[in-house]
Amino acid sequence: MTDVKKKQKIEIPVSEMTKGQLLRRNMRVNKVGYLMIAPFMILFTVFTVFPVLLSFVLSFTEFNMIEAPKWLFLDNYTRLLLDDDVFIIAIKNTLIFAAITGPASYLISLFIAWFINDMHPKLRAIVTFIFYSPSISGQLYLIFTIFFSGDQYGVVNSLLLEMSLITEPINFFFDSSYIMPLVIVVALWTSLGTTFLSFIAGLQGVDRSLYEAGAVDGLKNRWQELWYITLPAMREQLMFGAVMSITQSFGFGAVITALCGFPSTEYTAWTIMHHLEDFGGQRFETGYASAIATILFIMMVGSNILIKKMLRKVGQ
Amino acid sequence: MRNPILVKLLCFAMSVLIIAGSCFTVMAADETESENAAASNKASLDEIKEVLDAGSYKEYLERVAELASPAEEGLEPIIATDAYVKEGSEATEATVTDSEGNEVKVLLLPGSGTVKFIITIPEGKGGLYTVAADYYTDGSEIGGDSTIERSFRIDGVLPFSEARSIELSRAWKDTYLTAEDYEVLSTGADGKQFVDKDGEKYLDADGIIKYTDRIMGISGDKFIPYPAFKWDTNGNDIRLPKEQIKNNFLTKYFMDSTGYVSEPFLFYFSEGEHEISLEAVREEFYLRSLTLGAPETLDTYEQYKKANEGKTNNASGMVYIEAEYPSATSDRSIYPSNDRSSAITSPQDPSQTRLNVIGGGKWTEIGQWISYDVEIPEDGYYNISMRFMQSTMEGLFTSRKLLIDGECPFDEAAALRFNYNRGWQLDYLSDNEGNPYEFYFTKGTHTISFEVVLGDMGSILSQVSDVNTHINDMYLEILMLTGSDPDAYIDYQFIENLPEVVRGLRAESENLYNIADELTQIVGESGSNTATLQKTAYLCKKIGYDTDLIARNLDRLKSDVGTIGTWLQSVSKQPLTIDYIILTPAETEIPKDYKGQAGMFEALGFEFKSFIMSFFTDYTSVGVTVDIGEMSEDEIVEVWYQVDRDRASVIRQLIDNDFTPNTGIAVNFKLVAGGSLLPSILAGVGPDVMIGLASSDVINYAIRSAIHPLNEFEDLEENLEQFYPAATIPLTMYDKVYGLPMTMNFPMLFYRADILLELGLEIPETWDDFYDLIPAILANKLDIGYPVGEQGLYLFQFQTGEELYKNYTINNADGTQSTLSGMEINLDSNTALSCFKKMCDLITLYDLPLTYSFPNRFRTGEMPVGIQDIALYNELTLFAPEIAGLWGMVAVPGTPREDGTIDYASPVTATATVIIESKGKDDYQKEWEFVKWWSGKEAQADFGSEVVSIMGDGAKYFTANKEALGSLPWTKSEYDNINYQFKALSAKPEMPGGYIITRYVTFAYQAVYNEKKDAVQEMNSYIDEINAELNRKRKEFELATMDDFIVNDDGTLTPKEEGMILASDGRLYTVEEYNKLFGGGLQ
Repeated sequence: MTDVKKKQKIEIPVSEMTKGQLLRRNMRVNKVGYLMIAPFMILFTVFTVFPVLLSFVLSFTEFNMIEAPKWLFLDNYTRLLLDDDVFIIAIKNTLIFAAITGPASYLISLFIAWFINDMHPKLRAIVTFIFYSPSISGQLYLIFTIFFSGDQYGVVNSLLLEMSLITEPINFFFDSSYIMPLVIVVALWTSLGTTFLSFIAGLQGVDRSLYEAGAVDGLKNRWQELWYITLPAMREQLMFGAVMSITQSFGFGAVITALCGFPSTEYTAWTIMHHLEDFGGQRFETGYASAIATILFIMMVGSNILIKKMLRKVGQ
Repeated sequence: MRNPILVKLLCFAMSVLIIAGSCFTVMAADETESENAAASNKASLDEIKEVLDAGSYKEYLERVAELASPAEEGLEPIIATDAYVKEGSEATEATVTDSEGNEVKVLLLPGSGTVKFIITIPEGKGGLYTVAADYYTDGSEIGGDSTIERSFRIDGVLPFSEARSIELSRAWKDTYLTAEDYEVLSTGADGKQFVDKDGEKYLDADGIIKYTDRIMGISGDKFIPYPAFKWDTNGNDIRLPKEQIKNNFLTKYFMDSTGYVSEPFLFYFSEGEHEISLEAVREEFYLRSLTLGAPETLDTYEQYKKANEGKTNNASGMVYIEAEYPSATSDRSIYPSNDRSSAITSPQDPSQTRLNVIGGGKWTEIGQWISYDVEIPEDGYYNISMRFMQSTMEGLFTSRKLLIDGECPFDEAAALRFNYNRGWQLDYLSDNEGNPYEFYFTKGTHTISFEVVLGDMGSILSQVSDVNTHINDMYLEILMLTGSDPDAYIDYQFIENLPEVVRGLRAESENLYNIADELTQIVGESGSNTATLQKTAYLCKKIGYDTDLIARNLDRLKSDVGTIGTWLQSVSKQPLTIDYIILTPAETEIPKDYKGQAGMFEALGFEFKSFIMSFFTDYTSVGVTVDIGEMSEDEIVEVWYQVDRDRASVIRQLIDNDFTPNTGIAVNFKLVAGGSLLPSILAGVGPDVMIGLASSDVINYAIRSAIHPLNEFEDLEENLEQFYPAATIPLTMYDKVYGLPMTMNFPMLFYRADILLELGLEIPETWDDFYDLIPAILANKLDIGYPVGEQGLYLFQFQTGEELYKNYTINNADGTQSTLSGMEINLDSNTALSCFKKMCDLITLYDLPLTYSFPNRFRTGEMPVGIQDIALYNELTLFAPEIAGLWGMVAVPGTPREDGTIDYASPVTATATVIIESKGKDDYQKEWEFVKWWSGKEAQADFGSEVVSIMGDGAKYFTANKEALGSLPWTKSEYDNINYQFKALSAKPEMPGGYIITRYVTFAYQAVYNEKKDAVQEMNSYIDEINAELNRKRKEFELATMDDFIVNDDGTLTPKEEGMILASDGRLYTVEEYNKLFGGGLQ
């Protein structure tokens, strides 16, 4: 029997195969490849794809984590978009964060990487470490709570008090007029992470001979060199960096909680992540939280597409 | 304090007070007593004032040395039952049996109040006497487990501050399995082989014989009962609970509980009649007699040797004592433990737990002792050697006093040194040159005891402590002149303003340098310990001679005082671990197989075996005596608790020794990480009982049917009576109780007595007092800590009796009326708003700080008064040893009620023990048994005491059980104050959506502070949002909301839909539904 089947399959030329047949044939041919990717794909599906899909389904229900979910359809979304003032604040803040810290940290990463790139290798390693360390040193950003402590002994407060610029300590991280600027500074400080490293790697990988060729072709200055040679040559890293910074700036929340408490005074620094945490963790409204997550997901995917389109323009 | 004349006046006043102290204090003492019941706050301050005024023992001795000389001979014992003042005394006479079976008349001294005795000193016999008590304790009849503590007064006066705490220890013994627990099953070739009563576990015959020899130390054919520990299901040793030794009279001198003074205290008694009194600090006990004795001086070793010269010397054989089998210990907490650090610790096993040593971190406090009964084979001279480990006090030694039959044989044995080494040491008890002491023993049984003393460190520590206290006082003086944040560029004129302080700094610098030198001499090296002292000495010298530097270095001065305080506390601890004790005839060597450190191959072999065995050991079932492996899941109650290992092992022991034997219910107790409850419930693999769930979570889970309500159990009511109502409020929603309270945390008022006394201020009793105190404290550049926020708001609001949620009356369809709360917040009522404004005024008008680290500022004295959670007690005990005894805590300021009493309500948060609902299960009786047991008086008291005995005073347990509170190791005055607050607690009721209140209250006061907004307006602006959230959450759970009702003119509510009845579960039902569900209108 098997012999017959084999014969039949071999007889059909590839060009005449239906899609299904073609797929099966390719799978058979590349089965080693599938086998090798299987461990990752299984884990990825079970722990990433499946939860995302489940969350999408849950976003149409009312689910309190303990009792069985109740089907609601679009109620969560209508409430979220039309009847939840705090969510609007969250969207506003998230967009501000994404718009400021995303591009800013991206550009800072790029330029610092570019400057560092020409340094002596040993010096470069040291400087790289200095810039990279804030992002890997866990909760080092908490040092800002000492600098900007609301206590009269906080570094900034005691300085200002000593200079008689203020008469009573400012409660920096709890005063709605200071929260946003401070948090953005901290966000930038911690943002020189993976993006930055990938840029350094990308810059290292640019073929030197291209610059010589560029010089011959009449590049006038380093800006032109950067735009026409360096950046196009490291488009993959740019893409990777962009995805990382966008995700980071959209998902920025834990640092704010650590600095300003949960919630920040008058929701001043309330982001979608906070909203998610609030409903998912504190109020046990997982269905509603899933709806928030879905919207956040859509925003991230959307902005990624946008970024991809923009990056295509690099070097043109 | 800036005025020099004022300073002089104050000094004069103080000296007058000290000299004429006696008469003043007598009067004051009488006054205090009468007021005691009415004002506990004032009494607290007076207590500390009395101690501070009394002066130190050193000063006392100098003072009385001029009046009299030490007595030459002791007086007849004062029999307690004859001499006590019967009038107004709570003491009762009793008769007990001593160890020989004689009946003895004794006096029971209760755990509170003062007992006075009248004594007469015969003519010509006035002088300095030691005082010793002959007393009797028996835990099975009276009192708790902690050390007995009394204040001792002569003629109503505390002679010196140390007399405030006279400690009398108890005597405990371990229970072992004895020969009776074993049966001889068969006789082997060597004559003995045993098996235990269960007939399951064979004890290796060889092992036993060797073991038996080693324990009691006599080889030969005489069988000695084999003391042994019980085994768990895997053969690991587990210790049995300790018992107090019965019918045992103890005699103890009144000594210094800090150990700084190593001899018994001397008290001056003039001729004639005196009234001496013992005031209870903690625990009750039976007193037989008090003896005034003549101070004794011990012989030196030379004299001792001479006195024993020429006696019969037939010393032979070797006596070997396993240290983990003491005949008695002073504390329940001194128990055998497991050492795995050495391969040759005896006995040792690579895989199983053998309790093979005693002491360590549990045998460190002054006065704690361990004693052993030793059978000496022949009269003669013996050396005593010991295998011990002292690996904690680097660069220092720890000390023990040796007592043979209750007497210290010679002076040098009163301060035996055990030097630091990272490993085990086997060494003789010897002089500092290493020559072993020879002790003379007669044939027969003797008792050898080792008592914790400070030894040669005593005088050093006492001096350092005095210097530190003085520097701290000077620091406070400077603080009150400059404020906590002095300006380095202002000339404060220290020499003119605080000449005493400047002189003091120079003198103390000199003192510290001298002490450091002395320490170097004693220890034989200068190391980190001397550096600690020299660093401060240098600082004092620097700022003492260049006073311009004082302002700049004030922080450093304070932190140095803290460092020395911590150093004093750590050096006062005298840890020592013992493996075994050997007595060998003098001038013979210890046999070769006894040694301190294992050989390299021995150690390697042991480590390797341990490593291999670690793959086969079931660590989760260590200590389990009931084999639960074979039981079905229904038979076992699974209990989860998020806690540390030390506490968990205490709970497991309590379960194994108390709960399971008494109820027959097996318990699987698990330690879990935080946040694991929710996922486990979701996955359906949750526990049966959860311990220590925060009260806010309880309702959160309960409303989602994850927690089983307790109302179905008939004995719920009587169990709830063990708690004050406030503790159960957050665990109750709409008549359903979801858990029994376990711990409570609530604000109390912490105060620094030394600073308040210095400033002449009182502890505030009411809010009026509190407001009077604010300017007085601020004027001295100090601060007050108030917990601004939700707690702070409730503190004001609950004392006015104002509810947190609005109460509505509902007109039901059947003509009845019911009340409903939780639909709307009541923070917009006039009273509530004024409370919120009051709180905001504290940070705006009165300028109290909003953000501060209270423990830090309390320690430095910048914030001598603060209202903080009681849990801070533990932190302050551990973190600020240098101010121990200088601070206290009392009930929060109160609001006077119309009837003249004061409402001290303080808002409480609780944790609870709850039963987790599981699907398809309807019998929760077993779980309920566990919840009842764990929340009950005995388990809570045992747990609290045991944790303190293991982890120290900084691990106080704040039980919610009002009966258990009294059995926990609090001192009398601490207990009084906590209990005072305990009775007056109030709590925030937990309702669906209640989390939103915290959030908006925070927003409101932040806006008031940051943007100077009006408090009332700001709070009002959030009311709608809070109500909207409450409404939404209530709808989610189908509870009645305001939308379901029409508001009538008289303020009552009528359901919009007709024919509806509000049930006690907070929901609206039609009449038919209601009758069906609640049984025909019964409410």
